[in-house]
Amino acid sequence: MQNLSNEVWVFIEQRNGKPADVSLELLCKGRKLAGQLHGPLKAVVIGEDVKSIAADTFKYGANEVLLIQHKELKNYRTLPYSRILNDLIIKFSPRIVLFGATVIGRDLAPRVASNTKSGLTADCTELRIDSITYLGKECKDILLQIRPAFGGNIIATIITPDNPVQMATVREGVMELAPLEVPNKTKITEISFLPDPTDALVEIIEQFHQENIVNLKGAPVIIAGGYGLGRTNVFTAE
Amino acid sequence: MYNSIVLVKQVPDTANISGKVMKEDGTVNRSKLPAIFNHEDKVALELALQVKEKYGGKVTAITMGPPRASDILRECLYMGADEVFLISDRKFAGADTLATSYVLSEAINKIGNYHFIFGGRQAIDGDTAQVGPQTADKLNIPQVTYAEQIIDIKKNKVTLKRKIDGGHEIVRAALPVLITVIKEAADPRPFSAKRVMAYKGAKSLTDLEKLTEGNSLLYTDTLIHEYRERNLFISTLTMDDLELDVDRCGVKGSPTKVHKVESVVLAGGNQTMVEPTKDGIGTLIDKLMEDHILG
Repeated sequence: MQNLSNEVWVFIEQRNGKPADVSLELLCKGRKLAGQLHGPLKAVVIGEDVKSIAADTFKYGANEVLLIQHKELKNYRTLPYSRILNDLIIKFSPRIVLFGATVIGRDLAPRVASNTKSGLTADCTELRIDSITYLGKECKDILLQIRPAFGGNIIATIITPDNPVQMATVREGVMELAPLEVPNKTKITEISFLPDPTDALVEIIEQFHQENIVNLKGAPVIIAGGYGLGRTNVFTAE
Repeated sequence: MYNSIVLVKQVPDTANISGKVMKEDGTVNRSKLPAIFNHEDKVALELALQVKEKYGGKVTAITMGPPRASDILRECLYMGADEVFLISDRKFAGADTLATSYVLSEAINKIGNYHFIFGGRQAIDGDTAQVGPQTADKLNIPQVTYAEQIIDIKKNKVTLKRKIDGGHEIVRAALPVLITVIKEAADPRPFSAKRVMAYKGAKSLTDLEKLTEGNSLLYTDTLIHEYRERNLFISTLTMDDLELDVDRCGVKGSPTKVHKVESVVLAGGNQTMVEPTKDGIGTLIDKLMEDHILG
């Protein structure tokens, strides 16, 4: 395989104009991976009126944003979102594409991987670029995708040696959130979106959201107890 | 009338690791884990059966796996499936989700005539949740993942409640559609005793071949005919039956490869046995006080 791309892409998940934490965490990780590949980190931002999200991504290391805005794209829907990514990936063939392992990421990434015939590894706990030998073949600067499997009883390192595009999903809170001290220069490439009749095959009738009341990730101390404690009031701090 | 095809998988029971499957070094001996029916797939079958009961239609269960995966197909028959298919071929071995979804989508095309494809959200061995959406993509039909309730079906559209991060949404999808379900969607019904009696003798091609092995009085073809007549033959679809592209199956068709596997060591520390006697307890208390754990 010749002339592999050195671009790393992160799909930025958003709701009501706010980027998901996991997407920003992935930008921080993607920045390191892109650095090792000597390539750019690009954020793919899809939605309605999401330019401010695009601006946010430069604080976390994006070098360029691929921005797709349309009123039909306000809420995530599998068919239009996957069509956009399929077209972009087939056109630009990035080396790595990262998604949050959220309900959206786990709905979208496999559909895109299938369409673009890319390798996809779910729920990675670690991502690393390294050169390895696989079945006697030198694989230079390949993405090592490390994840638990078999109900957590094994830790597997997955690679995609023969494909141009390597994809992975990562859960929220796994990668460290580390904004840049000086944000990157802004570079936004707007890409047009043409609605398609197939977009209406699945319509959203209603949505209900309840924000997490307890923010475990932001808590300085977490105290956990087993079933043997019996009651919750034993946790009362003195 | 709505016909459903349900994707089911036999998985190693990774949730209940007992001492019996542990190796001496504290790692799990994966080949010794009992094989079970992936629970969320059973929930998917239950939903398909409920659709059939309410609206009429046919329920077909299919699995891709080794011959012994016919165990869970028999269980599908016990629950109420009308027909089952085992998709099995040595050339399918080592498939990742992309190669698996290719084989499944071709099998679904071969079976045809469906309104719904149901499957569990994910299987407990890989937990990837990828095969559903990848199959939907190859069939070029819409998908609804994380479904937790079918609200209604009318005019060739299904209204569903599905889980999303931090809430849920109601969606309406045109048929045919692929739906993956979470465990809250339904409680799988117990096996019907009548159906167990009727189908416990259901056999796949491999099962019948085993019967004829070393018995010159039995012929596989005759047995297949006989079992089919009695509605007890579990049809097997192989690579040739499905006219598949060999380069897209098994290890060859899988872009992802396992480079390395490290077993998680579940070994405990040193153990001391305490006799359940007054003296034993006394020794335990002394020991705990000595270590400043007590007192």
